[in-house]
Amino acid sequence: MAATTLPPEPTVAPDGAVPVPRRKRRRKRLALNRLRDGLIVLFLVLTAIFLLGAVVGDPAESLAPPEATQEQVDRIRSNLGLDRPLVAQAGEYYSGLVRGDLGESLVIARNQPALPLVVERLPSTIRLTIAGLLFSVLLGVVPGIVAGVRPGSLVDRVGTFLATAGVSFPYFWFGQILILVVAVQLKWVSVLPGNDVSAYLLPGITLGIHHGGRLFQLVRSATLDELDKSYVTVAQSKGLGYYAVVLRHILRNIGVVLATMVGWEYARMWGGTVFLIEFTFAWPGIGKLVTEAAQRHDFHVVQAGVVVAGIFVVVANLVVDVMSAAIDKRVEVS
Amino acid sequence: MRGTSGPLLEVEDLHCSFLTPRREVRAVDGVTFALDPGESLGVVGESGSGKTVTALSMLRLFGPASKVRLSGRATFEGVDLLRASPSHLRKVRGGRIGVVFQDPLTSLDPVVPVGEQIAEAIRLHKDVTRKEARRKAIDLLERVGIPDPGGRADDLPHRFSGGMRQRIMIAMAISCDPQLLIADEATTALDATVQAQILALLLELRRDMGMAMLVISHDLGVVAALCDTVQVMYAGRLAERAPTKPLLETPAHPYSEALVRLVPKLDDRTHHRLRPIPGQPPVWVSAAPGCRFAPRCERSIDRCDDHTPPLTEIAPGHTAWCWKAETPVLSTPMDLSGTRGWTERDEQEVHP
Amino acid sequence: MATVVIVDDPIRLGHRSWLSKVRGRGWWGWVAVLVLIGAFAVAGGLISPYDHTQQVPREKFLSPLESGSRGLHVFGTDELGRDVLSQVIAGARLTLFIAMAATLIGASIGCLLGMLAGYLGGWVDRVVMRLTEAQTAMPMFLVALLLLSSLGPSVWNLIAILPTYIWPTFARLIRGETLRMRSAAFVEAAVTIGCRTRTVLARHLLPNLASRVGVLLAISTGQVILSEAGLSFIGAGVQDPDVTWGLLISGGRTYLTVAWWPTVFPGLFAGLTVFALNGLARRFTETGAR
Repeated sequence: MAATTLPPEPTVAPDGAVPVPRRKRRRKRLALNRLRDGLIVLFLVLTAIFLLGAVVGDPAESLAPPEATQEQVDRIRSNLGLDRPLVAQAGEYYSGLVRGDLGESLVIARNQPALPLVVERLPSTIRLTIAGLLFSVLLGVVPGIVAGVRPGSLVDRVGTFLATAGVSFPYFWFGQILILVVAVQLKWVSVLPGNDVSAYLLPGITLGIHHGGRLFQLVRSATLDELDKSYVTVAQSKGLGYYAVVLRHILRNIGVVLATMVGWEYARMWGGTVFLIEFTFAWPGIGKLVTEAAQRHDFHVVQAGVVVAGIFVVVANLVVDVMSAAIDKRVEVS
Repeated sequence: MRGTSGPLLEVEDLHCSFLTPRREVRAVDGVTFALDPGESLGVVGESGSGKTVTALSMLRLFGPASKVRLSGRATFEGVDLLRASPSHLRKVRGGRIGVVFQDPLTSLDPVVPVGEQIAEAIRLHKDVTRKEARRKAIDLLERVGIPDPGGRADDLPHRFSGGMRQRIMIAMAISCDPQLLIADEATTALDATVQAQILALLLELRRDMGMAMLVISHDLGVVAALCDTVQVMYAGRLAERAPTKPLLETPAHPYSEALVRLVPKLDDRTHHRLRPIPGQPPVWVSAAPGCRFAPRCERSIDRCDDHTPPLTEIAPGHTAWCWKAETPVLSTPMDLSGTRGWTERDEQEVHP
Repeated sequence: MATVVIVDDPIRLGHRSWLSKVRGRGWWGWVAVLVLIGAFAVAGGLISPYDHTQQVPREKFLSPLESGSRGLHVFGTDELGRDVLSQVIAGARLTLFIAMAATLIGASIGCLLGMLAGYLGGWVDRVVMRLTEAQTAMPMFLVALLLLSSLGPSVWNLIAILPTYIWPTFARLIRGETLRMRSAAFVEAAVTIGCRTRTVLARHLLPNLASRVGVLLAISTGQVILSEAGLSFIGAGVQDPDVTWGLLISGGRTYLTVAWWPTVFPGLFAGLTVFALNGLARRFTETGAR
């Protein structure tokens, strides 16, 4: 009788032959779909930037000296290629994008290509976003899980309050206060940006207060939702302690969701917060360059900044989506 | 019944209430009963009658966000579980008492392979290596009738059907040879045929392992198939307790009578209509004296409204909490033979 | 972890849980904050102790609670001797005006597109959803900079640009709810007995949505206040002599090491307003869920 024979030696158990490739294929297809969607969104974003530029971006008026005649303005305009039909401009924009040519700087660095100016500042901004991400995770994810696991506890209530404050108060204002208290009054760290690790501290914390606050809220509610699921009670009925259930089951279940949330917050940094922080801390990154360029109506530099930031937002979202599609085991179910 | 040295489980005056931000909701309000080793006890009642909470209170198994007040005693193997240390409780949970929950779709962790989930329970209670635990888990999967257990131990729960998942849940619950198996609506969410298979499996396991069972169900058929004794709960209190046969044939409490009458019978010649119990069970109950069922009871008398009925013994082992319970009230007793036969037939098909 | 209290006496009758006394009262505080700031915006001239534009160069950088020739300066004075409290009160009006106008415009656009997408489905739905995705992926801060540097910074340009920050959230909410409603049992029941889908949706969708849109409006207003403050902070938003909290923070920035109060107080008020909006939103989401 089959029931009495011993099962085969449990080496690495062979999965059912048919279902596994099908499952993997399904995940792969999902990942590819998300890649396609991401590329469509990227195209839309780049097009939108072009259209906005075409509609409002007439730098000729602002470039020309106030006393310039209409003729002079027109000459500037034709030099910039702004008098040609929209379709021709679009063609040039896209071919320029492919070649990495987004026009020339008109004010800040006269006649230098705009894109290299922005790209040059890229490493500095990337380093700052990573510092910000680290602080966000530190301030948001871990306390968020603790609060979610013990709803109504002191950690939860204090954390919820602080997180709401973190997302509610203007983060650049927090930055100013940090500069004032930590750097000016206490003289703990230097306010001057440099290669020193301590230079990342204040801007990183400021980003962490804002994005960490949001992460806290998201992570807490994701954890709370997970607690209601009956597998938590079942795991406890097996004799696992509550914190063991958290570590061995809940974290495993929300891992992908957590990674997705962190990725979203990273994308949100590129959506704007990091640039404002750069401006606040005089950080030599894209944000500082672009705000200066904007103040001096250097249209192409601003546009190049927008394009680079837009690419980062889309790619960050895309990486998160594709990765979660590829690793989330539960995706197969839905 | 086996030779015993006292009951396995003694629940005395158990109260349990949940604190919500707005009010305190009583779920169990003074329940007393005992369970002998190897005995199988059924608890029936409508949803909300407190039968599940009674079982979970004994193990202090509540949702992580809930705030609960307990009082009374639940003595299991000589230790009051309500006041037991967390570490003792963890040993009892899964080790001495196994639980099978209602919904097999959500009861298993969706991202952990089923074999690992069973092995986890084994490793918590037995000093075995990872490999031995896995092997035991595969044995258990085979024991509960999962085909190709070695191959399927690494599958995630969503790759199994509802009935299969419930079998896996049962394997998990019995993995450490518990003295008591609590089956909380274990077959409710399943199709009728699958339900029969699971009942057959539970019967077989009980016979082979000699464990006591606490079967919580709103289905009298399930209880009739599995249990020696049945107790009926209403609004957080016990209404009646009796050996299965007398309870189903000659219920003494009007509520039990109504429940029994509500079981549709195909071969009933008299063709009387199903008579639903008028009214609704109370959503939350007050502590005021009186019989909880009185507002819906056909036989209630004035005394029922303001005097809590005492325990009345109708026959040895047959008790009811009712003022009018001296005489059995059912005119057409429930036919038990059909239920039994149906289950046994089915068992034959599943385990040849 | 479940909190389990073991008590040795059975439960008493009608015991009100200790939780109810602690919870569920705090939100009145947020209402009070919003009423105060609303009063600043509506009746700023009456409440304000002094004219916020009045410059007294000899009395620059008076600390909070210091008195000058005009009297007490609760929040001190700035680099031109202007009263900071009066500035904060004056800033409330334009800040809230921009925030509410931009939020209402964004919410209207979002609701309209969301309803179209949910009701018409098909390619309309796909286009709208792609647009929301693209909009969400736009680095809005820099885009706003681009537009404002080209169009020139002004209150009206701000009100034109800020709605783009928030409409996708509304569109997604409304679309999702419309879709859910269309397949809801009671809508199908109403259609079965001969009501027109459109009528049913109009009559049931909007009331059902009201509370959730209200919550989203509160959150979005907060978001817009922060965005406006950010743009004004770097000089691409509101310009002198108009005054918003963001601009005030920016104005104090240069003198931060000399005087903290012209920076701190406007930011505090901006933050409190957004905090109150978020607090209320959370409170109503939680009640809705219960």
